[in-house]
Amino acid sequence: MDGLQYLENFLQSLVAGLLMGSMYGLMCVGLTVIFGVMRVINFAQGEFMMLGMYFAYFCFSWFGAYAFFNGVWFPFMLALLAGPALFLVGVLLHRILINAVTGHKASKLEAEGHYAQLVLTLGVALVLQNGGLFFFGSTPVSVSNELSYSAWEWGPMVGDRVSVFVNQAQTISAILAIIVVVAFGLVMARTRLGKSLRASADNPDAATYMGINVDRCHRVAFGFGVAITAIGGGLLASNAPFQPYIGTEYVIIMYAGVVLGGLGSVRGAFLGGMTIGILQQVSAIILPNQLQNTIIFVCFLIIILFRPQGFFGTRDRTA
Amino acid sequence: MSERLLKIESLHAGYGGVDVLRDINLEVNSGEFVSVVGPNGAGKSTLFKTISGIVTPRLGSIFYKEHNLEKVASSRRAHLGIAHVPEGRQVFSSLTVLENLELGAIASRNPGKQSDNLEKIYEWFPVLKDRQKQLAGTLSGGEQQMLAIGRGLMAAPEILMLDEPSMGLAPAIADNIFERLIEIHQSSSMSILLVEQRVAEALHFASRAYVIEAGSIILSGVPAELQDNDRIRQAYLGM
Amino acid sequence: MTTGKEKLSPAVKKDFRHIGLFGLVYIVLALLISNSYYQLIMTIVPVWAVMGLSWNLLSGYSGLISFGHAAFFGLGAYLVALGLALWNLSPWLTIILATLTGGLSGLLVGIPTFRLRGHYFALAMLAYPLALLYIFEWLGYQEVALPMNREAPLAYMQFENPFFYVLISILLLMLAMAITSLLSHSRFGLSLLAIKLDEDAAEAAGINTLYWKLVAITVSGAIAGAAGGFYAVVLLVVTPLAVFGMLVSAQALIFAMFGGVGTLWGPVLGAFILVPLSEILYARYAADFPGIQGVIYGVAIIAVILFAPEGIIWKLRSLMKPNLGRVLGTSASQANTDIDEGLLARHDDKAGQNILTVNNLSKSYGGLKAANDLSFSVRNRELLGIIGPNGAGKTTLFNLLNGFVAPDEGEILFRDNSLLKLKPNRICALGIARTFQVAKPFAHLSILDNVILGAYVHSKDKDEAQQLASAAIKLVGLIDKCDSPASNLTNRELRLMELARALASKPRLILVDEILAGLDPEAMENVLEVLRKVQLLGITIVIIEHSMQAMVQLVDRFIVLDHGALLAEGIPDDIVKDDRVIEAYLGKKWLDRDE
Repeated sequence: MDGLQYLENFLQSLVAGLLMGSMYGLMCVGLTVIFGVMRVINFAQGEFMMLGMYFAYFCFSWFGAYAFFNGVWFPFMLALLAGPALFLVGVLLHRILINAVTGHKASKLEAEGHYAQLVLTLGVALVLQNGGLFFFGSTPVSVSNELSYSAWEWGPMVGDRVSVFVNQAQTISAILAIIVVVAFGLVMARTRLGKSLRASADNPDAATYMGINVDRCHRVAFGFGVAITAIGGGLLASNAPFQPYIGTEYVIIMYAGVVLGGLGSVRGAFLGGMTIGILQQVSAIILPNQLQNTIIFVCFLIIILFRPQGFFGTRDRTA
Repeated sequence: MSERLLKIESLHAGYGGVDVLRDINLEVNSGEFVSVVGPNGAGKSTLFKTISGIVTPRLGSIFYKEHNLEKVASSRRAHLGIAHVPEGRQVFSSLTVLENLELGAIASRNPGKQSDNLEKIYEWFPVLKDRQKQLAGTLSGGEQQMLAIGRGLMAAPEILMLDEPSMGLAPAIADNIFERLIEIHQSSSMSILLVEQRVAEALHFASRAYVIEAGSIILSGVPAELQDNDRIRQAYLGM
Repeated sequence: MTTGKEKLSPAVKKDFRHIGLFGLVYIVLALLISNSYYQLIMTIVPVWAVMGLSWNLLSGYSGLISFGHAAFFGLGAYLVALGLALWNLSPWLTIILATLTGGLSGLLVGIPTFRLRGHYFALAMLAYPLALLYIFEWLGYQEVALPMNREAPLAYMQFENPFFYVLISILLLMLAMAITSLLSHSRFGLSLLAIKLDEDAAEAAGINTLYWKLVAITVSGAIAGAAGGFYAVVLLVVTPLAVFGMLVSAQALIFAMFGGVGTLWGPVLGAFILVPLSEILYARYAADFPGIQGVIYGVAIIAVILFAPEGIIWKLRSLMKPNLGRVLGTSASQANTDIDEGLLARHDDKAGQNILTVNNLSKSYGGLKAANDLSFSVRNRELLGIIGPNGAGKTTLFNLLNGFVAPDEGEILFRDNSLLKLKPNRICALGIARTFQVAKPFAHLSILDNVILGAYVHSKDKDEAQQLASAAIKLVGLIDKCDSPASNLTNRELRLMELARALASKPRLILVDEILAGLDPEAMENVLEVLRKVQLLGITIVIIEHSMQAMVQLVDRFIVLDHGALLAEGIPDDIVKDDRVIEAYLGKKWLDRDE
């Protein structure tokens, strides 16, 4: 292969990385919101992504046959709808389970309180994963999207030798992901709800003095975190086949992105996820398939060991 | 007509089974400036935390107007008209000055007045207006104290509780803040409940005062009487 | 007294008896069962119990939650599998190698990862087995089958009668339990518990926390490696997911947490309940309910966290009468009630010299000067009080003296040694002890066990440590209760126990942080008495207190801090009349009013 071929491969991976990275970034934002506001490490985040995927899939199977819904836009809309649907799931889950080990009450528990939430979310992950296996079956499924098979051609460039193909479905997904992140960022920055969430994260006691119900804020934050990641899942549902165990694969990707960006920073999480996506796609040029994810783990470990506060965390942190 | 705002009866409260406050009886009426003084560790902050609901009383009761606060969740108390300016300022350091103030208005019973209140606060503390876009965490100690007070005032409370506003501040800055406080008090019908370690300042401005030592109230009355009472000096200095 | 080899304490001997009995019963049971499916379960359950114990050794005792024990397990499994498949090595050998590999990888993982705390640690531990999973897949070892050896099956751990697998399995479990028992009743166990309770306080008490954590993860990894190695022999086929997967790490955690963290029998109980349960349910319902094992484990872990966060054993203990706790407790030490308190005396330094000197010490946090050019000396054998209004920088000063915080500028000299750059446990070893405002005792352990931790700084020998601890307990007046569990103590007794722990390290100087807070006058008087006795033994005391009244009668000298700076120093009589002090406490206007 000559230089131009390398160039083409590189550009292709870069583009794929940016597109996939946007979706990863979205999911990372969901995770960082939960940590940023509640200081909870949620091990079940991958499972919420999985639920978002299956939400999109089932809605697509049930309604996709009707002419009204038979459009190219339908899968994307389902992905977005996964948000509100999973928001309710998150809020419910928080009220029933998570609340018991986090928040204001839990800070008065003894040492168990610290790792109780870690372990509890592990339990939730196991139940969701394996419950998913039971309800959804182990056969991989996906959401078919006509646009997945179409691509725009960027080029030919450099005298007809270099062409980069940009997948249309992925592009639209990436754009939607960015829109959701921006919209969420605006909610956090401009609305009273967003400010209350940030205040609860910053200083729960003072927030209570101000009349803010910190536990309710945690519930909302958890709901948001789940919803946002679920939308990411819904967008990814058109990308490749998935099965109920897919969450585990993505958990480390999400945590790598979040840690890279600095725990608690929305912008950092998105950029972190984007970076991980690019890293993953570009490394595919030189590394065999299985090692792509290993590279991410190694990066994750290096970041955690040498710069746990991340790189992109800036002033607009949620906490 | 002076209405009774806050009434604390036989309050016992503390942490982990140990009572820090013992048999506290205290009252604040509308429009009053009441001070609570006492040495370190006497339980002054615990008193405020109990009123705000962060600490649950073991015995006794707290009434705010007709409400028994036991039945009111801590995050609802601000909505009743109680503002708490905590010890050590406790501003939201990752939010801007303006955002801090806006959040103070959440408990307001009159949302329409928010921009008016903001203007008033900027008049009293012009430095806050200059720094409104700055992150609260970058302000100096004195500026943070002003922000914390402003934040408490945004809800136009009926009673403003201040926990050791002079702590960690240079005396000149603390004096400045006290003077502002007096102006604010005199220009509205709001009550002030002030907890302070520095006795003279606290007694100077108040219409009534309580002295607390080792969790109990040992003296109460008007400042003129208390100032001559050597018991206070004993409480602080041990002889 | 120092024989170099510790005798087995009664608690350990009792454990060994129970372990032996348990093993015997299990073996007899195995002899009676001939159904090969049940025999398989009887083989697998102890393996998982061993994994639970392995996790327990690190995470149950220390509180550092590991989600990555599958890494050690998997490496052990692959070592044995590949050893046999590729190089014809007998499992008898490779299981031992697996143990060593597990231990080594534990150490290698621990060195970088222990620099992290809390959730970062858990996240990092999660990554190791998953990374290994992908690596082994990439290496092409998706499925490694252990070949059968027809010529010399016994040499390759291949038995026709499944009973022998059960036998090896239970022997492994008994060994793991024995190791756990020995370690938990030794300095190791107490040190880890201290780390779990409050890592900073442990450091200040002289415990080298990093060292103990590394020991814990090494032993833990070794045991997990052995379990993995044997598991490969039983399973006959090793896949990455089966040995590196998240379920493996989760199971190790679940069995320990379900049964009871930080106990010997907890992980065993957890495995013995949950593994057969899930296996039987899996066998019966797997066709209809795929994934049922995961759901059961998930539900079990959620239930435990919500209702019995420390596990079944602790829940049972708390429901039973309190003094039964002593019978079941892990008190490994025996007090000596005849001990001479003089054992703690420090008369070697001459009175009148400076034992501690602080020069130009400064520390800022952001714009706030918590310590502002402080210079003062502490004289040998004196009782020095540090006072000042709230926020004056008193606790910061202690943190600087103790080594928790590094100063921006200045020097601290202790008996001519510079304390700068020394870790808290080194400073403790040099002779400075400290009490903390919030005393966190080991509630389940006796007073003696709580106190003896402090003694280990001074002496590695258990007997000597017991002597020191007993002396300290006698000095503070708690000798009658020294075998009772710490959970029943009053506030005053808790403070005294905390003081005893500090005294057990035979310090020359003790930093006492607000020991009188919240005590009623009678209790206060009692504590003051004890402090006077401590001073008589030649120990220098520096005390922070709010209650001026008590201090005024106790101290030889005062140092008054305000806004981080030295405001005044002198004898109590002078200090309480000092205008600057009065101003700092009561305000300038108070002074003015007299004029």
